[in-house]
Parts: sequence; C-alpha cells; structure tokens
Amino acid sequence: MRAHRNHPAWWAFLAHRLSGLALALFLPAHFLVLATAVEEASFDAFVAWTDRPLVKLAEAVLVGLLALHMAGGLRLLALEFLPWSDAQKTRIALAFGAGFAAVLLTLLMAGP
Amino acid sequence: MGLEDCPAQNPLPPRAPAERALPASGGSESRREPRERVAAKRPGEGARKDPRTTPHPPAALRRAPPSPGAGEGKRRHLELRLFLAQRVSAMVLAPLVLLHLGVILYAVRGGLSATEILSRTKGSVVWGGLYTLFVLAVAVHGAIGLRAVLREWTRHPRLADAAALLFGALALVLGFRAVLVLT
Repeated sequence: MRAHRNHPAWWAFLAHRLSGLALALFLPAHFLVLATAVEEASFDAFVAWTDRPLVKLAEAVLVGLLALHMAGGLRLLALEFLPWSDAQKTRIALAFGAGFAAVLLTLLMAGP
Repeated sequence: MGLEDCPAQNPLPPRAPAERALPASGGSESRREPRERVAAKRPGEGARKDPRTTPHPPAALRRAPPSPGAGEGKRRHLELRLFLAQRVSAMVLAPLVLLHLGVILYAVRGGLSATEILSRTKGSVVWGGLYTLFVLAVAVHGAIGLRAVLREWTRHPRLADAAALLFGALALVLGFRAVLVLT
C-alpha cells in the first residue's frame, strides 16, 4: 500500500468520493421513479418489485451512503472553515459510524 | 494549469501524508505546514507566489481576485466560484439530507406506497418548497462534484465539463418534474 493511503483521511476521501459518485448515478433514477407516483398502480407495482432481499439491502446501502456522504461533507466543512484540530480522526470515525448506523436503522425499520 | 492547483478539488489526498508525518502532540498551529502558516499571516501572498502548492482552502478563499482579461485568471476565478458554490450547496444540503433521512426511516415502516407519499406531499407548500430547494442544491452540488472527480480521474477536462452540465440539466428537469408530480 502506498504510504499516503495508510491514513484514515485518505480512506475518508475515497469513501466521500465513491459515495458521491454512487449517489449522483442513483439520483436521476430516483427522480424518474418518484414521478411515476402520479399513476399509483405503476408506482406500487415497482415498489412490489423492490420487495426482495437484495434490493432491500441495496436501498439500505444507498441510505447509508447518503448519511456517510453528509457526515463526511460536514467533516470537510469543519476541516476547511473551522480552526485546525486534532479531532480529525474522531470525525472520520463519526462519519463512517453515521453511514453504518443509517444502514442498520433502515434495515431494521423496513424489516417484516 | 495543472490539476493540482484546482481549488474545487478535494484538498485531502495531498495533505494526508503531511498530516501523518507531523507529530500528533503538536498544538493546533504547529500542525500546519510552514508555508501555510505564512499564507495565513499574509493573506493571499503565499497563494499568489506559488499557487500549485497552497491547496489550503482558506488561503484559496483569501486569494485576491485575478486581474481581468487574463485567461488564466479567469479560469482560476471560475474554479474559485465553483469551489464556493460547492461549499454553499453543501451547507444547504446538510440539513435537508438529515430531514430526508428522517423521512426515509419514517416512510419505509410497513412499506412504501404511492398513496402514502402523495397524502404527505400533495398540496403541501412546505414539502414543495423544501424539495424544490433540495433539487436546486443537489443539481449544483452533484454537477460540480462530478466535474471535479472526472477532471482528476480521467484527465479530460472537456468531458468533465460536459458531464457536469448534462448531470445538472438532468437533475433539474427530472427533479422538478418529480416535485411537480408529487405536490
């Protein structure tokens, strides 16, 4: 592993970038599906199609990516606009924790 | 102009090794690189002397506006605007995302249904306004983010610009359509 990657800040950067990319790819599809809600039958048919474990897991992961990206973004804003602090690693851990917690919560709430 | 001096890009990767090399016990000031400390004391000067190696955003923010007419200056001006737009849209998005996460957790209980969603949003000025703002902010934020990532990872600046514009337009059109349908 290259030396600069052996640091939580590098992994936070990568997670922020990859989650941002994934969310950007997902967003147009999300908008398209939402717009079908006007025909309730077709929307509910799509929702019924999503009622399978793999899709549910993917949805929960997306929610986690959103939480992770938001927490990572707040960390970046703090890094850039607030005075420098030694708490950066703690904030990285909090960002990952928020993402993971969101995945678990979504799975729990959407459970049978 | 190299990619390294683009202020819209994430300044973290080049900083990480420096962060690691510095003693963890140092005070808040001592953890900064010496050049950054100089730049912090004399706003703008360090950045103008050597813009390639001063990615620290506050220094970038204090950078004096470029002289008009210079192509390089214009481009840097655009990068600075995009950098700021990215941060401002992020500040707008953060509370909206938090709200959205709450709504997701609330809405998925017992499964999603069109009736349930529509009953929440139909005729609601508050939801309509919030989601309109959400769509605007996310179109700006996603477009600039996509551009920065593509510029860095593909090294095709034109492709990055085109993809950013396409994403922004797509997000605006589809997003506003969804808001119109739901409210």
